[in-house]
Amino acid sequence: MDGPTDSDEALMLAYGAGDAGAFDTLYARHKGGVYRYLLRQCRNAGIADELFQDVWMNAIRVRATYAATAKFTTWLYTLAHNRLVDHWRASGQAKFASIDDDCEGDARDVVEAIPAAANDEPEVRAQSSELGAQLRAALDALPAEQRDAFLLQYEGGLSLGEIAQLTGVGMETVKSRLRYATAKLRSALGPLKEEWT
Amino acid sequence: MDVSSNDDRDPTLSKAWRAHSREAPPAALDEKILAAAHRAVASGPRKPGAQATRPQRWWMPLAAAAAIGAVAIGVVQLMPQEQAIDTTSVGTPAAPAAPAAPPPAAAPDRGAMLAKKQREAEPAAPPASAPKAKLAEPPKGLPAPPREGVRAPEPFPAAPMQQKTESAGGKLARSEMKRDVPAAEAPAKPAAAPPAAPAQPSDALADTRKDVSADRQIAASAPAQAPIVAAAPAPATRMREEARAQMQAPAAAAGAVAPMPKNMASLDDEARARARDPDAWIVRIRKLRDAGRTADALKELKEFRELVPDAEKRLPPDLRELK
Repeated sequence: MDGPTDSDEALMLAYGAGDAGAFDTLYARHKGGVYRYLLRQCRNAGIADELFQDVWMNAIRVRATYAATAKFTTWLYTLAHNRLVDHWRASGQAKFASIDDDCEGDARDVVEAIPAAANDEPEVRAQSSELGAQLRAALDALPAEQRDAFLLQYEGGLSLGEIAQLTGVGMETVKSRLRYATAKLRSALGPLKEEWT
Repeated sequence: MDVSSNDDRDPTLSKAWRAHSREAPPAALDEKILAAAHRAVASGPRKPGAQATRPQRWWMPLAAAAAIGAVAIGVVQLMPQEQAIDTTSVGTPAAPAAPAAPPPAAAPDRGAMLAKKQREAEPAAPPASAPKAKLAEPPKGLPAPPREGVRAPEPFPAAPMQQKTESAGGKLARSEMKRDVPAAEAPAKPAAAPPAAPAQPSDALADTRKDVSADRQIAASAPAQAPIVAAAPAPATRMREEARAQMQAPAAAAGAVAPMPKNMASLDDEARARARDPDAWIVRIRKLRDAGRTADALKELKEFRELVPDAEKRLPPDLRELK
């Protein structure tokens, strides 16, 4: 477990004070999660690389103004989220147009409305080697907001409140998005679910 | 509700997700971002365990080691030259009379420095005869006594020899040197040449020897007469030693005084050698007189008065009135 001096916040403050080694540690800790968050959202490795670099460059640029008023991961994923929104805006996409903010009552219908993955056959799902592909396909099929909430929770390790703070929506909305996303992905696991319990 | 809670995570889904979601950014992208991060704080990228390879760190000890090595090589290259010069300068064609007692002319240059130092320290000290033998020995720790067959690569010019002798022996040695050179006859010439060799070493080397020998000499409380002895050129010193040996021999007490040299030049040299030890000369004159060789005693008394500056003060009343 990280001590007080090895926390993300302390490392970022140290980097802001000129300790380049602190950035190395921070980068090693969070590069994978941020990268996968961006990659799953934009679904293009080239674009993900570009966005990933922009996120970290932005973190480097604003290092001196960083204040540990929130968790570092919340701050970092906020940078990533905002960069992603900018990318979609610039490309004319509206990925975060809400479709389920008020759909808690008919969550089942929404989940069922999500198109199934192409290789959603039992025999294929039985193969563990393809489970990752199944999960990715199911995730790709999720609405952007649900996918965003799911990735922030599973890749960034953010809590419901942090996700709500980051995305600027209410906690219940976040819970709803996560519930939808989780249900869909569980269904993608299907009979293989027992192997992971 | 606990806003920080993640309890609603599905553990099965989480496990499966983590098992199949392992993408990472390309290494090139990592390096690019880390380099930018380090540039931003004005430092180079740091690799684990590679701190010593940073350019501004590793070359400093290397440069220091190179400088020390260069100095060490230079010193090592200089050392053999010094030793060669030392051996050459100390070398004298004349073989030592006895292995146990190195010749006093072993290091006239060194002796001259020693004499100068001693004269400065004790200008008016009375002469003493006891430590003379010790003075004749070269100081310990200095190069070995002269070895036969060791020659300088080239003959040394006369000018440096004279200059060195002057600085070493003072006025007395200077006047004797000027007189010796023209007066040297056939038998004396080969013996007069060797002192030139020791006079050649560099000034730096001579200074080094001067310091060492002078310090040793002062510590040994050498008498004031030592400078004269040490500054004497090799032939004169040898003759003085012979005369002293004759005087100290048991047979000499019975009047067995060595016959006077037939050769006048040799006589002059001998007289000058005796002049460096007036007390011994007085004893010799007295023995000549007591042995009935009054003419010889008078002759030496005359030479004594000519060569010893304060002869009348030194002469005892019985010899002073000898006619």
